[in-house]
Amino acid sequence: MSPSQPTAIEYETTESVLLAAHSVTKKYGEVTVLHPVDVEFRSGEIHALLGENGAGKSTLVKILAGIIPATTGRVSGRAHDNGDVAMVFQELSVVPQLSVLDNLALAGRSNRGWIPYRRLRNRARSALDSAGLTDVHLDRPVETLALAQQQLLELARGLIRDAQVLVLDEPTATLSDIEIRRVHTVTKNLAAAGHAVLYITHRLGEVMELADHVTILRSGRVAATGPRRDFTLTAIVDHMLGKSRETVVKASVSRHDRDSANTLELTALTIPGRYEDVHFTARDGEILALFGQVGSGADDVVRSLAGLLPPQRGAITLRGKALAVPSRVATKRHGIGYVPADRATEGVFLNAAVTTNISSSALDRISSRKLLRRKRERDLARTGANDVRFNPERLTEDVSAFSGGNQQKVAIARALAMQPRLLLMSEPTRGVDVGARAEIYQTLRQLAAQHVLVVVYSTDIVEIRELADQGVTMYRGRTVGSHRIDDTDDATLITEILHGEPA
Amino acid sequence: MINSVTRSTYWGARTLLTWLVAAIAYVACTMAVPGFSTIGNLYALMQIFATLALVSAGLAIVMIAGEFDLSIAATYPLAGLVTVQYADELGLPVSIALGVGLALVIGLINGIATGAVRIASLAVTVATMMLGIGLGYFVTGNNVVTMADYRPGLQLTEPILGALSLQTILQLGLVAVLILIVKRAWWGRFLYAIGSDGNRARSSGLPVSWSVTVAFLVSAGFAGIGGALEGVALATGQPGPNNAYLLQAATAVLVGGVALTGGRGSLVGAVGGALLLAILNNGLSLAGVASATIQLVNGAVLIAVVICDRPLRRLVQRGSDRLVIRDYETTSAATAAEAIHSDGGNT
Amino acid sequence: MTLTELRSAVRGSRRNATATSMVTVATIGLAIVATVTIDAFPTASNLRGLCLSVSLIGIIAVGLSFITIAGQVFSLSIPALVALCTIAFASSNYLGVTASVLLTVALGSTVGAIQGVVVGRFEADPIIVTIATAAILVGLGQLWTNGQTVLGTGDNTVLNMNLFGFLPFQTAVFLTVTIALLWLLRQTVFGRQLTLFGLNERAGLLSGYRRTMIVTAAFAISGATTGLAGALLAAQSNQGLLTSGASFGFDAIVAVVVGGVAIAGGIGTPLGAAVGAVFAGLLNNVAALAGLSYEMQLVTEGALILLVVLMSGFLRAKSAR
Repeated sequence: MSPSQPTAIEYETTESVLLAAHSVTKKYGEVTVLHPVDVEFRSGEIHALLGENGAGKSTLVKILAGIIPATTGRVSGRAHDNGDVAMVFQELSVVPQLSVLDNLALAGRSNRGWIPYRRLRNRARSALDSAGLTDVHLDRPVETLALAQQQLLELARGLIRDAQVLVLDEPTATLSDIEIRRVHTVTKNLAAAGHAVLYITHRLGEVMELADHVTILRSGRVAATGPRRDFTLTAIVDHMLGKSRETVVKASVSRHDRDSANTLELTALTIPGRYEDVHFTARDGEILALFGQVGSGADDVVRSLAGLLPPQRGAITLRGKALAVPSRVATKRHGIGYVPADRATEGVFLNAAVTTNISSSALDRISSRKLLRRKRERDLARTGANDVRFNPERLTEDVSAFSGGNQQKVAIARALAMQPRLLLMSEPTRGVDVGARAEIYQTLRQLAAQHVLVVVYSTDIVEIRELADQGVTMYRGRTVGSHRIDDTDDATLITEILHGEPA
Repeated sequence: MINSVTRSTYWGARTLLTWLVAAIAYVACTMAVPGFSTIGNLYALMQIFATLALVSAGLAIVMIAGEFDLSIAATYPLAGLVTVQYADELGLPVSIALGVGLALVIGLINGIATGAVRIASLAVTVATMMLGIGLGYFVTGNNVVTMADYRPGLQLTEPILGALSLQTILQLGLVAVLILIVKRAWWGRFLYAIGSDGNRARSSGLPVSWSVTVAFLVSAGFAGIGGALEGVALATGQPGPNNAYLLQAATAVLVGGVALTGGRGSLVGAVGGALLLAILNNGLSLAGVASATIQLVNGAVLIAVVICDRPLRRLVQRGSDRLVIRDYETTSAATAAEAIHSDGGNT
Repeated sequence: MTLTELRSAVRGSRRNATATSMVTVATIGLAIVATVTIDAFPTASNLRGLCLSVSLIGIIAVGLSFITIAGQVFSLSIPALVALCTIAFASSNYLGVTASVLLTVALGSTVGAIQGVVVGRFEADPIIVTIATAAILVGLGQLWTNGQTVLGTGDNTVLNMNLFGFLPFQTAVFLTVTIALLWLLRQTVFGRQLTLFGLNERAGLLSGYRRTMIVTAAFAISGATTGLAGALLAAQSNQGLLTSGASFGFDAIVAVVVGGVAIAGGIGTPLGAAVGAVFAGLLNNVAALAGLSYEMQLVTEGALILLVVLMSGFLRAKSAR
């Protein structure tokens, strides 16, 4: 991916600094979350803020926005003094049943009394247009919008306040390439209009393409800061992780060790309105990735295989035998494990210990005659933790205490505990930091080598490249192409998911 | 672009459906039960409807915010008891104020406990319901109470234009005001946001505690006003819980499309549900069905509504899903086209 | 079951231990105060009466806790079901004590199971379904008895006797049911599924748990214990009527809430509910002995319950932060 060159921004003197932190620290009791941090955000600049989870990004941002106070140090700048910082979070905060207009109205400062609807309509309309939602009517209930449109609506909610500084926290995490392009355009327009944009992202490719200035946080300190052109991708990762990183070498399973009878085959699978005539074959020893935008039907195919969305037509065979997927109970019985994209609500039990989570899908393995055996449960949890490279010292803690990466490991361990023959995963490393990501990929590749069929759905080309052997592209509910990942270039894959025709 | 007919139909589908069924029920009762459409019976129907609509509207507000108010089973009779008990000593206006005031105090407790202290509304309103019932026994010394002067009651219930009365007009007027406020005031939007996702609403800076407290005040206040007016109209009262009203109000609100999970539904729908239920109960009563059986029927109707709720919602959802996919495809095709032009290639 | 397993079952999860221990402290405190200040409290007859009412509330509450832990909030049809079961017991009493108890329990669990199917299979809201069921049960009861009292014609002395000279049979039943249900929740696969399902339903479904089975079972268990309590209540006076046990519904809910069972689901145990029942029963008893009229009792009980709920809410909020 070659980054496009941003237009050169001329830096002025300190008048252009809209927001700045001076030796800001933050302590919670004994724990120091931020060591003295100095950073400046200038008007007209897209400033990328990077760092692993726990590096202090969200704490710093909240201090800058004035949501929480700093322990020492100060925040200065026009935007801070006027409270003129708007934040757009990754999770959707829209109220589905209310109209687009109402949701935009709620984004403004809260008021008492009557809603000034007439005045609001104009401002709402222009915010929508800026976000690229030109053909969305103001009175539409938000729940009738597609997910990607709702994400752009989030952006519009940030725009309507017309704040001098806009903080975007992972704005493109759940978007596919078309929407991402729109977000980038909006961001560039904002910068050109003199706003400062604070762009938090895990997608390093985005940083290279979009940012003017880069700041990397590591363990509560500024590891590096400077104009974007001073950084390379590798340098950024090195600063984030603090050690030199080896590239993940995909160990592929040799032909002899492969079980040629172990395949998953989909033929003409159809749910009208979601996907149609889907074909692919997943083979032993290989990881197959479904690659498609949001709305391409790829996630629905995975959910169907998991038993959550029974297909109306078509056939599925596992190891040569016909496989029916009428319910989750049935698919579980067939040995199909599933790690969903939505970790917090489906992937793990947040208010339960890691051990409980891991055994939750494998209760029959830790019991005899329907009675639980605690020792067996502890042993299972320890084995599971080792398999996913999770710290076995922390098995008794609640999952809610962990970072995204660790939570995902627990989710995977939970699926592995049932000893699946087929493992399905949606967005395997969404919201997971770089370190944990590599460990998860290692785990999955190991699984494939152990004759477990692995099928993942992802919208991240970098992930597919690092993880998968075979890639199946989907567009608008149909499979477009099937490729050996190592033999195919990014352009081909992206063209197929954007335009639906083999390149 | 989704055309306007589909948009408003989706938005108000449930409400329209409720009023439609109410109309059908009306016609059915007119045909099946002799004397149903007489002015005399319409008056009785309006009396039932107006009170139920008032209490249901209050409950609907709380449910939209994602909570539930069990205590109306206590505040409704309590306000009536206090009004009747003290009418002779303190005069009617004061005793009504006392009754409604007491109801509002209960509403305030509910609101603060749920909104500020963040306790589940079911736990709180169970406790305040018990408190309210106890207060009712306490105030009346466990006796039936009566009001010596029954003339205000007669004034209140005197037929206006045949089917209406001062009582009905007051109550329906309050409902109309509430509907207006919910549509046009910030507080109304806040309620939907809170019911949709309370935590998110709170972290977005919306005044959750205050909004929820007001919602419970409205619910208790409306139940109190309804109970007080009923007390004046009957000039008598008996202590004990009024579970029948709780049941009917909950049925009316659910029928009207307000979901227990919060964040969806409309007051107009809840009022439609109240009308439907009033027609049903009035018709059955007129046809000579025993009151125990009517209660049984109410329970059965509620279960039927609840069973049909999911499939109904899914039906509406599936219809909108199809519209969404079609709509999204048109827009993304348009933007895909524009992307090719503006970029001239991929990254 | 080994001793370690029993110990781990009793200890329960860390989370709700604070709430349960708080209630235990409050209960013991209240008992001490009552013993010291009220002469009539520590008498044999009063204690026996206290045991009886605590036992009945407790039997209902430990069954109800299964509904709450499964994430289905409460059942508001308990008073009506208790009343109906007293009538059923008295009506079938002529068949003999054992038979009528079994029939009543069967009736209770069937009514519970039906509610469970509606809530589980049709995904209806439990509060609403149970409110509706209460109305239906009251209507049925009215039609059945025409408001008359039904007299039992069997010999129910075995249910009202004292074991070992001092322990009322009904209290022994309470203790047995508590231990049995505690074991069921903490030591069986079913219990674990129920707990996790209540903690996070969607994640539970992904683990292959069956919603209909879990919810129906929870309601059936609650119905069974309610039926048992109804039978024992009717046996106390050899009669069944529509107004029997009207207060038990609230008392059981209070017991469950006060005992640390979270309304959101997944947290708490029947043991907590049992302790809560002791507290609620003790409260009633002390209020009555202190000379409070029935009306005042209700008011003070309601106020005190409100206080407890508020306090537990405060504490939970503080620990969450």
